[in-house]
Amino acid sequence: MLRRSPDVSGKPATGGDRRPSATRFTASRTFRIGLWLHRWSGLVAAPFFLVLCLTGTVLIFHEEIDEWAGWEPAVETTDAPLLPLATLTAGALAREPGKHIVAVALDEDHPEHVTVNLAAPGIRTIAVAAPVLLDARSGAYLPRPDPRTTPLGILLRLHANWFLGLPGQLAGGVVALLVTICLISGVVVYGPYVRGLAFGAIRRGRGEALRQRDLHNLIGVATLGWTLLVSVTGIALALGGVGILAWQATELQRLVRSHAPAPAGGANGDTRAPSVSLDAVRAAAEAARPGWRTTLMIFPDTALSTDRHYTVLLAGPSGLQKRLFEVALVDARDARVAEVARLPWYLTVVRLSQPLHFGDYGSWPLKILWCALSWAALFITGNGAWLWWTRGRSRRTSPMPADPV
Amino acid sequence: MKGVSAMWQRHPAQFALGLSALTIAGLLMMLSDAALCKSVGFVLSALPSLMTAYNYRKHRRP
Repeated sequence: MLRRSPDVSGKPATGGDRRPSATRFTASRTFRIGLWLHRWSGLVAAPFFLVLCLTGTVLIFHEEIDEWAGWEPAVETTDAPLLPLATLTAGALAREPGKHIVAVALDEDHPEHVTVNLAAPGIRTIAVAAPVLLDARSGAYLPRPDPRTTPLGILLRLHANWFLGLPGQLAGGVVALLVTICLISGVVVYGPYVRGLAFGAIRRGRGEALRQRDLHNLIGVATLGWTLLVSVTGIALALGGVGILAWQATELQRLVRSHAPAPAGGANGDTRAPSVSLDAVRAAAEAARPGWRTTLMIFPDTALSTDRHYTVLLAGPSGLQKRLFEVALVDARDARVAEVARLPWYLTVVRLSQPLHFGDYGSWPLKILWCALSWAALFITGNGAWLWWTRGRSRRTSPMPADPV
Repeated sequence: MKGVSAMWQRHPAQFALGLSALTIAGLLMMLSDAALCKSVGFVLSALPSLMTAYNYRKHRRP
């Protein structure tokens, strides 16, 4: 079956415009499948992608908004030395009697801030623990709302998992996959629509549909790389939750088996009451990987540690290594490092996807570029849907051939 | 047509992928800590958008 050529120049074909090959291509099965995929993957993903673009645009500036709104305590610059972690955690426990520590997070950018995650007895996951922010110089409690309950925290949950936890995260991955399919199929089919048109030219005065289509193609090509990168990294991040579950079920289980505790009965048999100080654990982990810094210390007997070991996440010293983790298992009884394990490849991919998805690694210029490209992606999503919505009317009122979407 | 417009018309898919490669290479380059990589990476990643904006203005009717 032959389709009408989507050549939209409106001019008669000339000998040099290679029109016969364009007609052959638009009649081909590849073109028709590509057009169908572009249209329907785009339309199905559009409403969700609009929400993701809007929330993502706000989240780009989360640090600035948090600071401006006072949701993140201001950093005071003093020369006072940092207190030992043991002192800080003891102070946090004293504030919340009856609770236990699940994890302690250190902030490389703000070493004077230490977050202690406290939970009620029986709770073993960081996700449901209450974060308490402490001033590492004075030990003072720094009041701030739970990051998950601030407006930006709520936006982040909407963006990351639609308030649905892991199923919502996977649904977000499906949206990102649809966007990726839409982009790739768009590359396949857009050629015939720009035949005879200079790069950057927009046809005006010949109908709004034609003008919007030219804009769709032009902006689509200009932003393709960024949109592809953000979509593909979005798929990787959506699979991050599954990746952690897989790590827990495989690698963590292997570590538990390899370093199973000796039969209880010794003086230090109760591993839930660690007998070495947190600072000794940190020092041991960092000594095992010189140059790497502790970012998170997960206490023994949680969902991400063994009954007897701290799980210490170490971040690399520079470059790409800064984005990666190695996992040190440190014995809670004698601060001996049982093993330093690398992240499996799938979690490495997830880690590397984070900066490339959030655009938070190039200061203000990159944030502004990220924001501009988000709005451009938002525009072509909206105008693509509009082109599809008005295509029947365009056909009736104009002699132009079919719309691309 | 010449230059960019000729490439855009003769090889549209390759042209789009080439611009994407520029953006992605630039953004990957910016992951490095070196100031030079950050600057060059930023220019590369912004180049497709700047080129599009320049050509759009060039072809805009007065």
